[in-house]
Amino acid sequence: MMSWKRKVEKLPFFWYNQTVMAQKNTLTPITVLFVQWYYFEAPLSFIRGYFAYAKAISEIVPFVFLFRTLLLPWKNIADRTRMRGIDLTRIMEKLSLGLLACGVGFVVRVLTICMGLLAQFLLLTFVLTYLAVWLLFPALFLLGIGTCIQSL
Amino acid sequence: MSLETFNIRHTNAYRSLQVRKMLWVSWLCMLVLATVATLFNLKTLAANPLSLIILIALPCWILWSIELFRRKKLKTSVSAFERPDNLAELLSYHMVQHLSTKPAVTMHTMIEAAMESEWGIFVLHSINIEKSDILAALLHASPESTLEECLQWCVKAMKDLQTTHLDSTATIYAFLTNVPALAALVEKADLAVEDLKKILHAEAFHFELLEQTHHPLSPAMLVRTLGSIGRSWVIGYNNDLERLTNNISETILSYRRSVVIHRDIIDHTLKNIESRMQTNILLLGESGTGKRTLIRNIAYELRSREMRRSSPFSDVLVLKTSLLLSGGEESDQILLQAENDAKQGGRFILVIEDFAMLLSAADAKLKKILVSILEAKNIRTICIANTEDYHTLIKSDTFLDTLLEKVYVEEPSDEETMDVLLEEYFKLKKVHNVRLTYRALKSILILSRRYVGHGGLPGKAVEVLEEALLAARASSGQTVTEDTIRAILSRRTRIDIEVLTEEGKQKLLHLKERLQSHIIGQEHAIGSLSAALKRGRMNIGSGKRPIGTFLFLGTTGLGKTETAKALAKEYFGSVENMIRIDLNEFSNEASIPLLIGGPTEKGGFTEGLLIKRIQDRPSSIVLLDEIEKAHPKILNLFLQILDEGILIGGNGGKADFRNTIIIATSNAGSHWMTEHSLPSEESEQIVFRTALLETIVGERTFSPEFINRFDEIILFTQPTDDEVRQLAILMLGEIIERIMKDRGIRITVESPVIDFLAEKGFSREYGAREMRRTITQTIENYLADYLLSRSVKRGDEIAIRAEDLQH
Repeated sequence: MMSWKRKVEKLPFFWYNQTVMAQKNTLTPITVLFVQWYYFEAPLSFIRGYFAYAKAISEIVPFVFLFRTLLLPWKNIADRTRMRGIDLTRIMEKLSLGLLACGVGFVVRVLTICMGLLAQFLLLTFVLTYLAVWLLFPALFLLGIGTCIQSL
Repeated sequence: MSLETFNIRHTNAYRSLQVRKMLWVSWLCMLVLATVATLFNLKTLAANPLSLIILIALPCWILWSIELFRRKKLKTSVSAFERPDNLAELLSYHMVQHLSTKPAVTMHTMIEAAMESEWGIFVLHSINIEKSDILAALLHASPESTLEECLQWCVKAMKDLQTTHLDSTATIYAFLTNVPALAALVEKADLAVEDLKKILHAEAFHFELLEQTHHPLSPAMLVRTLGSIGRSWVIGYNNDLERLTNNISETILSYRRSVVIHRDIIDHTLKNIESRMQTNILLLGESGTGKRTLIRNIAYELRSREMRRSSPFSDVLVLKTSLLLSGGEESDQILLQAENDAKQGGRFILVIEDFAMLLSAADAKLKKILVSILEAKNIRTICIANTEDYHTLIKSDTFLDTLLEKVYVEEPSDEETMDVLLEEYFKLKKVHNVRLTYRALKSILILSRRYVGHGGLPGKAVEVLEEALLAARASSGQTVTEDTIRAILSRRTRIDIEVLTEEGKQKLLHLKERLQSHIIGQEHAIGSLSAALKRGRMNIGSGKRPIGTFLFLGTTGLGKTETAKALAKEYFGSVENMIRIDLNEFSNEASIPLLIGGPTEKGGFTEGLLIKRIQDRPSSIVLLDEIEKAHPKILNLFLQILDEGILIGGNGGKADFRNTIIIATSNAGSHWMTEHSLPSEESEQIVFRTALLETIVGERTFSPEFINRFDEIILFTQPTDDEVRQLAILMLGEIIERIMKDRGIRITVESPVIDFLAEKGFSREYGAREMRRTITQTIENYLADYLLSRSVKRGDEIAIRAEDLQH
C-alpha cells in the first residue's frame, strides 16, 4: 500500500523534479524543495496530526459509547432486592432510586459529551488558524515588513 | 556498478548540515539585531507594540519553519531511485555528518565514520571488538580495496539487511564480512555471520525501543494518561471486591509492551472471554514461562479492543490471596460479599495468581465460595498454577478440575526468548550502566536452557541476566562477557561449565591414567568412561540425553562399584557427588512412589528419593546398583531417563538427568560368565558378548529395549594373575599409607607376602572382596598384635614377612 508521501510524489510537479531533474544529474534546487515542502507536505502533515489528535479526543471522550449509555443508571445503581407480592411503597422506592440514578448518569454524560465537543471545536479552530497563518505567511510577512518600516 | 559520482556535498543530507550551521548563525544574529533594534527604538516600539511583536515573531517563524524543513525533509530524504547517479545519496544523515568532517572519503574514513555514530558504538560493544583493533587490522589489510569496491559491498549489505539508507550498521556489516582481516577479527571473537545479523537486529530493536518514548503531549501518550472517560460508569460500586483485589486494567494502557509472547494464548483467552460460554481458564506451566506477564498482556489487549469497539470496559482484578488468607474467620464473609458485588456489578475477570496456595490454605467455607465464584455467570476466572501443584492439589478434586479449562503455557522459542532478554537488558542497562556483549546474551539463553533444570524460559534466563548485571556493577566492571555468565551459572547449578583452564584441560586429558591408579585392569571400562566425560565437558553431545549411560556386567567383586566411586572422586571431586541407589530395595511395585514420589495416605505428597537427590546434585554420577533386582515397572521408568535425560515425577515435575553419567551394575549372566571364559581374540570377544546378552535376554532379566538404551555395555572380566598382584599391592598400599599418615610408622612388605595375598585373596566366586577379607585376617591382625606386644613409636619401621603371616 503506497504511503501518502509516495502518492504526493506522483503529483505532476513532484514527478517533474524527481525524473527530469534527476536525468539532468542535478539535485533539486533547495528553494524548489522548500516550496514543495512548505505548500504541500507540511500542510498535509498538519492535517494528519489534526486527525490523530481528534481521534485521541474521541477515544478519551467516547461520544458513541456515551450516547449509547445516556439513559443507563449511574454506576449501575439499582434496587435489586426481590419483592414479594405487590408492595406500592417498595415499587415507588425502586422507581425513584432508578430515576435518580438515571438522572445523575444522564447529566454527567451530557456534560462530558459537551466537554468533548468543546475540545474538538477548540482543536479544529486551532488547526484551521494555524494552517491559514502557515499558508498565508509569505503575504503576512511582506505586510509585516511594510508595517514595521512604516512605523519606524 | 561503476562509480560515476560520489559526492557527499551533493546530497540532501549535506545540505541539511549546511542549513543547520546557517540556522545557528541566524538565531544568534537575530537575537543581537532584535536587542539592538529594541534598544535604539524603544520609544517608538513602546508606542506601537504590534511592531515589536512583528519584529520578533516574524524572524522566529521564518527560522523555525526552515528548521522544520531541515529536520522533516532534508535530513530524512530517501533517494527515489534504487541506484542514483550520485551514490552518496544512499548514505544516511549520520554517515554524511561524520564523513563531512574527514579530509576525503576513502575506505578507512568510511568505516571510521560508521564507528563514530551511536549505532556503530553499540554494535562494537556488542561484538566486543575495539575500534582501534578494526582500524589497525584495516591498515595492514592487503590487498587494499578501492572505494568503488567498498560501495559495492555496502549496497549489497543494504539489500541483505533491507535498509533504505546506507547507515553505520550496514557499513560495519559490509566491512566485517568482506575484508578478510576484519572477518578474522570476528572469528576471533567467536561470532558467525548469522550472529552479526542478529546483533544488527538487536541494535535496530534497541533504537526502536528508544524511539517509542513518546512525547508526553503526543496523541498516544494523552490517551494512555487520561484513559477513556465514562466507560466504567456502567460498572457498579464494589468496595469489598476492590479491597480484596488489584485492578490492573486501570493503568494497563501505560504498561509499555514491546515484546509480546504467547500470542496464541492471548487470542484464545480473549475469544473465551467474549464468548457466551462460561469457561474459567487455568494457566499451567513451569515457573518462569511468563504466566503473570501473560495476564497483563491479556488485560492490555482486552482494554485496547474495548476502546476500539466503543464497548464497556471489563476490569481485570488480581486477587490478593495473602490478604484473603490472613483475614481469619472473616475471610469467607469478605469473599462472599465480593462475589455478590461482582455478580451485580458488571464485567469482571478475576485472576487468582496463587491458586494452589489458595486451595491448600483455604478452609472448607472459603473453598465453597471459591467454587461458587467459578460457577458464577458473569465472573470469568483465570487461575495460575504450576504443573506440580496441579497434579498434587487441583487434579485430585474432580469437580473443581471440570470447572477449569487447562491452557498449557509452554516455553517460548529461542527468538522470542532472545527478544525478551534484549528488552530486559535495555531496561536494566539504563539502571546499572553496564554493557553486555552479544555472546554473553547468547550464552545466557543457551546455557540456562541446557543446564538450569528447574523453571522455564524466559524467566530463568532473565534471572541470570539480572544477576550478571548486578555482579558487574558491584565489581565496578563495565562489560559482562560470556565468562561471567559461565561463572554465575556454574555457581547456581553446581555444574562446572566455566571455561576450561590449562590445568583443567590437562586433568581431563589424563583422566584415564588417574582412574587406572585406583582400578586395576578393566581398561576398556575406564577408557569408555573417560571418553564420555571428555565429550560431556566439551559439549560435543546433543545435550538432550545424559552425558553417558553404561551397563556394567560381571560377577561380584570385580570393581564395578569401585570404578563408579573412583570416577566420582577423580572427576566430580568427591564420592559425595555420586547418587547411589541400591535397587535391591525396589523389588516390588509399591516402592515406585519411594523413587519418584507419590501421594500419601493423608492426602499430601511425598517427593521421591531419586528426584530429590538429582535436584540437589544435578551434575553427578548416578549409580544404579544391582539393577537386575528392580521390579520391571521400575526398569520402565529408567527407559525415559536413558533416552531423554528427564524423569517425570509423581507430581508432574521434571528431574533433569542431562548432566549426569548413569552407571547401572548387574550380576546378570554371572553364572554363564563363570562357565565361559573371555577369549583373547577381539573378534571372539564380540561373539562372547553377544552370547552373554542373548542369555540375559533369554532369562528375561532385562528386555532387549532396556539393554539397547545404554551407550555401552561393559563386561568386567576376571583379572589376570598379574592384575591380582597389583590389586593386592593397591589394597596393601592404602593400609600402609593410612598408618603412615595416622601414626608415622613405616611399614615394608616383602614380595612373597604379595604372592601369598594374591594366591589366598582372590576367588572366581567372590572376586576382590575375598582379597579384602584376606588382608584383614592376615595383615591387619598381624599389625594389631605387633603394635600391642611391642612399643612402637613414630618413626619406627615394621617389616612384614611371609612367614609372619603363616603363623
